[in-house]
Amino acid sequence: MTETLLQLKDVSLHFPIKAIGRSGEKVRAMDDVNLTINKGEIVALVGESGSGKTTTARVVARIHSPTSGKIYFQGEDIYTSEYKKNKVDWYRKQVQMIFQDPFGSLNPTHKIRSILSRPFIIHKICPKSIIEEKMVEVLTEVGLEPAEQFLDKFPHELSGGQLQRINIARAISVEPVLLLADEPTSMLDVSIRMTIMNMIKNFRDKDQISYLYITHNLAGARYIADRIAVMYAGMLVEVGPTDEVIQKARHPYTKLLRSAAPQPEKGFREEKLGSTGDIPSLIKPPNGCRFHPRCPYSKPECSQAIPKMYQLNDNHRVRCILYKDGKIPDFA
Amino acid sequence: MSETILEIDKLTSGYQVKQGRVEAVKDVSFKLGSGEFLGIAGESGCGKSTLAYSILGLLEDNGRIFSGSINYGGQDLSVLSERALKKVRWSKISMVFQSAMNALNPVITIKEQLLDAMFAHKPGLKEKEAVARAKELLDLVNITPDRLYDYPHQLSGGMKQRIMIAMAMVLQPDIIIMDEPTTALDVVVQRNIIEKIGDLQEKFGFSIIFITHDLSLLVEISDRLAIMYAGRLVELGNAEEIYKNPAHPYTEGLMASFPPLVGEIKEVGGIPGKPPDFFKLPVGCKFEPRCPYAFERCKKENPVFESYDSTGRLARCFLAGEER
Repeated sequence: MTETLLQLKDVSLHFPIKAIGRSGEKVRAMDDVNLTINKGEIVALVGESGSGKTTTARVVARIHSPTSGKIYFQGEDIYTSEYKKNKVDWYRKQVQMIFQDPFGSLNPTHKIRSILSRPFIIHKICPKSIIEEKMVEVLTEVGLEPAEQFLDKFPHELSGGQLQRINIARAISVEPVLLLADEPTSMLDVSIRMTIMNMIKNFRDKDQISYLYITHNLAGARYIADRIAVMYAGMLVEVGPTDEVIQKARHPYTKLLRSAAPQPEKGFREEKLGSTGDIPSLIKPPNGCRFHPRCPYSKPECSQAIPKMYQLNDNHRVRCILYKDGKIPDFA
Repeated sequence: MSETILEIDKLTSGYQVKQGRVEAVKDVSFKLGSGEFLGIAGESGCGKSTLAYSILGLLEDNGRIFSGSINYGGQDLSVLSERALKKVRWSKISMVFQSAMNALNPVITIKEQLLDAMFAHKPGLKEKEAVARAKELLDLVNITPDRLYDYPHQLSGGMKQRIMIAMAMVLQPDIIIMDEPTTALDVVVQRNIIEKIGDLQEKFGFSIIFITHDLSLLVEISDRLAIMYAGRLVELGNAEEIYKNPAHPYTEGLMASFPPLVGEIKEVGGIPGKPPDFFKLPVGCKFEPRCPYAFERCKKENPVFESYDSTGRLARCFLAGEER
């Protein structure tokens, strides 16, 4: 039986704009997001820049509190005052983040020893006398050997791939159950990306760590994730098992992403993308479906109201009115 | 192959630093055909950008071309004076820079930046004609001409990138060098830009040298492909054939570094280890320490860059063309 670890229920987050003369306006970074992550599951959150992926991770990490909606971790609402009083420290140990930019997320003036000892001290994981031992253990685990050698280095002495391993070491040192990985490989060289992704997969297999894996690379999501959630302009547009979302992409936006991804095995492609344009402003998003201005299949009713999520089967849902009858339209 | 427009012969260039000479580009030779799309791929620090800057004479102060020649239009660009080079640069060979999103000046309008390039090379040009030309260029890259009066921050990343491409085309060059032009962009925008580049090339017939580390993208769009490692070319040939059957183990490793979008999901591993330090290069084959097929000879001898079969593909490996 699968055990639900994290549940986002109707979560919205609107940032107010503070500029003079613009009071009342807001950036709708997340709207009506429903998503669950099970124990030991890797869920990939896929979308373009500015679609709200990182905001989603930050809301889960308790960096921003949602404007509305609830987030449950192991069944408990993490944004109640009682939770804040009693369990927030514990929660912060359970949920860790891996950041996108390995060069910017480690303090350049500290040695790796100091960077890595922080989580042990802050979360009181072990007595001070054995922190050194623990650090060596965790460095070995992320493949940095001989570990002792790395402890006395500064971040600038390491390569991007090594820094990202330090980042991962820092995150797993407190033995979390959920990792929020925000594009952990996008700033790395292609040749190192796979080793980092394989390592992430390994920790899942070995320690049953769950991941919210944020990426804009559909092929990478396919490689690593059990389920894929596609986000567009602050809203989830399609959620389903990896295979279904990739092979039977239902939402026109997922289709667009899929056809835009490089596919060397196909050779040069003559056919053009069906859509151009950019992601819309989140301050004044389009009425109705947020994708309709770019959608090749859009109809007049698409601009009337935000479409509901239609359940295609137990695990696969899509936010598009073309599926309102529960049937699969011709183009799909 | 079509008529050769640019010929690089045994080019060695790099930087003079405290510890000595860094030969970031070593002994690189290739020909670029007229209207050809040549892709150059390799990891960070393999010398791809140094190669691009060498061609245009844009190396930093401590950068030098140590030996070799860059032949364009009957001249050797590597020995040309700065004055003579200025006549070639941008008007004949132009460039789209890496992270072009930051290559635009944030405090002046797009119009001024486009016109700058025109006035610098064509002193007698009238403002009216220049503006007309700028509008025409924006139209070519699918940006409405009224955007000419915008500042860079008013444009999206994809638009800025297209402006950079428009700027590279201002003087109708023969060759455009593109250094990772789509790396910082989202997939959909990336695809749009690639399509646009293809259309423009078809229309105007310029040659492109496209530099990136994303081999999955290159295979699809290039006519020929050059793979670079530690400053050297390790493989050069028809893009499709290289994809189907890489001759160099490094190329094979790069191919195994991106998971496929269709077909079976295999465990892919990337390439173990990291590129060598330019001051401590291996004696033999530079890829030997990371190569899964390395044997005794690779440690001692340097393989030459040669054609190993009838198709004209070049590879720098003792095992090229053989069963690995």
